[in-house]
Amino acid sequence: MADESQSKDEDNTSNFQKVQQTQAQLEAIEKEIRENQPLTSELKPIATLKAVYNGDDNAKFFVSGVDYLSTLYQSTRMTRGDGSCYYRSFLYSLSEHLMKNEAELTRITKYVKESNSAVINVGGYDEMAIDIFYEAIVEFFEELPKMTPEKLHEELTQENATSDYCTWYLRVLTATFLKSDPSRFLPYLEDGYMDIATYCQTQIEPMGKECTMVSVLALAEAFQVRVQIEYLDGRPFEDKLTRHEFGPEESLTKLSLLYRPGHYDVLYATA
Amino acid sequence: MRSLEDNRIPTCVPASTESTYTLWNKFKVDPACDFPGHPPKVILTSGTLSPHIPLGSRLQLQTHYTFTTMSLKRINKELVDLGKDPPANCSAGPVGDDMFHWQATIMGPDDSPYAGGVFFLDIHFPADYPFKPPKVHFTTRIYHCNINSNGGICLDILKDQWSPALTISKVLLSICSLLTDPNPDDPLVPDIAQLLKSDRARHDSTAREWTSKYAM
Repeated sequence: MADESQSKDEDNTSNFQKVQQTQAQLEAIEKEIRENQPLTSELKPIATLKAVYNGDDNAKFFVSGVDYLSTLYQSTRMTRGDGSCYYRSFLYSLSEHLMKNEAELTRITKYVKESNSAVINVGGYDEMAIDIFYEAIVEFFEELPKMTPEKLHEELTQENATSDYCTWYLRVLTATFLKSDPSRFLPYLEDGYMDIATYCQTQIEPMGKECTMVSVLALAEAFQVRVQIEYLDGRPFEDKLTRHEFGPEESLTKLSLLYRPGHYDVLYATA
Repeated sequence: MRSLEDNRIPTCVPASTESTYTLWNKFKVDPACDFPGHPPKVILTSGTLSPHIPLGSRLQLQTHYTFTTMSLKRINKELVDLGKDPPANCSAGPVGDDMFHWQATIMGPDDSPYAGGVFFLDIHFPADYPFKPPKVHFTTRIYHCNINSNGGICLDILKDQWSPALTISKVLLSICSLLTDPNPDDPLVPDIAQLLKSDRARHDSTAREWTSKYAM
C-alpha cells in the first residue's frame, strides 16, 4: 500500500514536471524572441524581406512577391513575432497617420476617449481590469500631436510600456466591437466557436493570441479606418499579390500592412 | 492607498528635470510631462528598484516622491475591490509588506466533497502583472485530479488562457468551480481522474477524508 502511494506520487510529480517543462520551454522561446526582435524595428528597405528567402528554391513566389511589393512600397517596419504583431503594426501605422492628419487625430482620440462605456457595458469588462490600459491609450493619443517621429518610435519600442498597454486595449476594443453585433460576426468564427464571448476570451484577450481575419475586420471598423493588407504568402500569383481591404473605403486614414504566414508588419508606400 | 515606499522602494527628492536622480538607481524624467507643475513621470534607466520593477519601467511619482508602477497600481485596485466586493467563499490579501505576495483562502463549496474545509493558497504576482498570470498554488493538501501534491493547479486561465481582463477574484472563483466540477479529461493527477471516472463514490469519500484531515 505504501509502495503504491509512493509510485502514485512519482507519477503525479512526473506529470507535473512535464507541464512545468513545457511552460519552461515556452518561456525560453519567449525570451529569445524578446532579446532578438525589437517590439518595432527601424524602417527597412523592402528588399530586406528577400534576405529570408534567398537560396530557397521553394520560395520563388515569396521572392517575386517582394519584387512586386517594391514597385509600390519603399520600406517596411517589422514588428516582434509575439502574437501581438497585428495590433502593434496597426497602432504604429495609425499613430504615424494621425500625426499627419489633425482632423482624423481628433476623431480617433474622441472615439478612444469615449470607448470606455461601451467596453464596460457592451464588452462586459471590469472597469478595474481595463482602466490602466484605457488611461494609457488615451494619454498616448493625447500626446501624439506633441510627438516627433523619433519620440513615437522610442515610445512604441519601449519594453513593458506604452505599446503593450495600448495593444491590449486594442484587443479589448476588437472584442467589444465583435460583441456589439454577434449575429453578424458569429458565422466568421473559426474552429466551431459557438459564441462570441468565449471566442473573445480565448482568442482575443490573451496577449499572445494572433489576430485573425474577423478581428482585423472588427478593429478596422471600430476605428473607421481603411486597412489594406498585402498577402506575401508564397502562393503562385500572376501580376499582383492578393490584397485584402477592410474598413470603410471612404476613410481618410488608410493603413498599409504586410501579411506573411503567421505575421504582420507595416508597409510604407513609395511617395 | 499604499505607496511603493511600503515595499522598501527608495524615495528621492528631484532637483530639476535635467538631473539624474541617484539613490540606488538612475531615473530620467519623461520630457513629455510638465514637471514641476505636476509630479514628474520618470523612467528607470539603470539599477533595479526591486525584483518587481524591470528596467525601462515607467514610474509615476506620487506625493512625497514615492513611486508606483502600473503593476502595483493594478494590484492595489484589486485589493480595494476585494474589500468592497469579496467573491463568495473566498478571501485574499497581501502577506506582510510585500504587495506582490498574497495569501488566499477558499472555503470548500457546499456541493462538493471539500465542503467544510478551508484551503489556503499562495499567490505571487510577476513584475509584468497583469500581462502575465499570477502564480497560484494550494498550500493546503487536497485530493483533486487537477491539483497535485505540490499544490500545483492545472487551470487554463493560469497558463495560456490568462488575460489582463482576469483578476485574482475571477481566478479564485474559477478555482472554486474546479473544486465543484473537476476536469478528469485534462488531469494533473491521472490516478485520481481515473478513480473519479470509474468510482465517483469512492473518489468523493477519499476527498472528504483528506478534507477533514488537512483542511479542518
